[in-house]
Amino acid sequence: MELLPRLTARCVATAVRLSGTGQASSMPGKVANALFPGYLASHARRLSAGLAVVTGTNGKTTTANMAAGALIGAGRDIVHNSEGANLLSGIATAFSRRPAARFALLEIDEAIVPEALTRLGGPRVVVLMNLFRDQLDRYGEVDRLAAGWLAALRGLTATTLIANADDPLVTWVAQESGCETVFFGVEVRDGHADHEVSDVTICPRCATMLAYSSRWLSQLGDYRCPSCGFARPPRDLAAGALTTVEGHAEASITGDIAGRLRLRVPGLHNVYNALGALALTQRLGVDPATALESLAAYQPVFGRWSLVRRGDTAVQVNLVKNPAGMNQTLRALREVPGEKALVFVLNDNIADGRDISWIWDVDMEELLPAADLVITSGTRKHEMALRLSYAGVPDEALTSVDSVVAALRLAAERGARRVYLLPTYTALKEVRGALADWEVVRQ
Amino acid sequence: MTDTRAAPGIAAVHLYPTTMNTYGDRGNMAALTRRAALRGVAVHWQAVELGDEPPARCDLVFMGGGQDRVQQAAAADLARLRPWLSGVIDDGGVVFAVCAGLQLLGRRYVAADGSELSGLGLLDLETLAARPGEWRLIGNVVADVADPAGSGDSGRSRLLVGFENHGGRTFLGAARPLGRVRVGFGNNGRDGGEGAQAGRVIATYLHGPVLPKNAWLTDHLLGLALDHAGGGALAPAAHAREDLAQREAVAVAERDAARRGRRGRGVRRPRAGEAR
Repeated sequence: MELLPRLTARCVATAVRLSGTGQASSMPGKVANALFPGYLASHARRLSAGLAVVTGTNGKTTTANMAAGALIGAGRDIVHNSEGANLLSGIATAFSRRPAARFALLEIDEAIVPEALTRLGGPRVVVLMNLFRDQLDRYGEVDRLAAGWLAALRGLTATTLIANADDPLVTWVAQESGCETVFFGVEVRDGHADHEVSDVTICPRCATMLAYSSRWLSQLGDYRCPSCGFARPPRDLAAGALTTVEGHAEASITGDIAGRLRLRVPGLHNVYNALGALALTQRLGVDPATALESLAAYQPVFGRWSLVRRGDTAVQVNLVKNPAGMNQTLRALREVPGEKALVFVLNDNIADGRDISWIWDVDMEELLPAADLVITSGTRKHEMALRLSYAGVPDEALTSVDSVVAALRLAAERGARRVYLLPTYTALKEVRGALADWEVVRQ
Repeated sequence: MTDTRAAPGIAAVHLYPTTMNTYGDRGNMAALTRRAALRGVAVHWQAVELGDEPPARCDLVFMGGGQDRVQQAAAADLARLRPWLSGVIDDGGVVFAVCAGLQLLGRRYVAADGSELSGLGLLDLETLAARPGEWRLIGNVVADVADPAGSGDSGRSRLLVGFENHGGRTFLGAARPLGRVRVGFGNNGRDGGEGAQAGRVIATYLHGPVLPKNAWLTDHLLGLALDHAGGGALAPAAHAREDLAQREAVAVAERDAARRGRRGRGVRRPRAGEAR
């Protein structure tokens, strides 16, 4: 039953690679799923050690890769869609690559969770990261995604959830599902996100306006409903005393695991990703000290704070695709010292979301770091430039160019040594091509 | 040199900024504030949230789009504000509404199950939820706007570009459409109308956000509001960057239209519980 779909996928993968058109992380599975509709289900039945799922708007790829690093480091044989291809096609591709693995760690697109779980069956563990506005034209609004998750999870009595306690909508889904839940969260005494656009403003239970004692990222914070008592639950795993030094985030971990978290990537969002990975690997039996060591050595995948260098110029690339992620990226950039050039590559292809209104919900006015040179590119480069101009970037610092290569050339002409490239999803491919012959730097 | 006269200012109200804030509506405020500042005019924004008392006097009211659940809460609260809002309109103030705001200004909204939600009745229009099997109206829009009300621009057509995403179909009574769609669906995908206007009440389905890249509409609203504030006529101001963004959006929309012509309409079906 599985040999044919697997061979099909492998043949397609070879064809894609030979044609040089991509990484072959989606197309092989797409063809296999189309020709053999039962492939995912039959392969999933053979995962005798079970399945773990990571989903949410932001942080799926990094969280799953952090967890995969710890699992592989602990000697586990796993199948994992590490490149962020998180639709049914990407999952089938991953299955076809490692047919013998008995355990799967899958990041799954937040909008296809119900459909994916119907095919794959109930997972052992599901990590629910967050729900932010993203691609409203494709996904609809966050309330609808939450309802889909709840329908998919309700009644999965053998599934453990690992849920972000700081997100009211995620918390609501976890509590309503009836599943056993491990809650994680961060402690930020004095959150500064009061002016940020929030996607969950009213109580998921009773629709009263939520009250926050501190709010640190979109709707993430210490919330409470004044009317029905719905509130941020106690955290089983928490990160406090967050700092970023030289672009490396650190925090102290308390609760089910006690220890010091050290990362090579910056920012609050990466602390969340690490918490999700820690809770997940602990649930899967990895020793916490081993997991913390693995996190300290974690190297980002391409496009998630990855760093390349050529001569004395360093380029760091981070995917941005929604307001919460962009806010967090800009905040993290402000923590990085030194002069910088910023390149925003805004595409409006289907996989990016055709609707680019989200860039106007980014808190540019508050968070944009000082930069001598700000370049825009992509299919909507002029709208991005207008956004940046309205946020106060002076005309003399702002330029729009036709390609990523042209942006890098311009940055070099202006003597920029440190360039931050912030592409949307489909722009990441162009960025990958433009940086193909640059040296990858370990962080 | 000290100017003893107060700088001209526009008193503006943003209705429900915390809850009705999807689809980049912040950009609309940014555009109004920015383009007013180019003329040395300050826009004094006041947020009016659910349950808040509105100010006695105001020149401009803005209302954006929201998720389904908050839209219901907004509809209930708006009933309370109806006398105030209708006073603003009678006094010659400007009301600008986007998407859900357009629907809420109308007479009624008829849900898929036939139940009715009363609107404010400040625009003569009504909205019908998408029927089972009807598609959600999503995509880039280009519309021609002839002679925007009160602009003195008679006979001159303006381009309006943005992004629509709505399940509800709006049909106009006495209200006039704001524009005629060249690309996209508009109010209902049938009659070619986009948005609605009556006097100084202007409403559109377009997000995008609509004001930053349609500088003429921003200026039109500012001109009306400044007039109401007694600040005289709005001076001209440059709009090169805005026009570049508009042309880019128009090009994208026209490319979409050319593609749709070959492949049919790329809009998915509405699902249960989806916003309007």
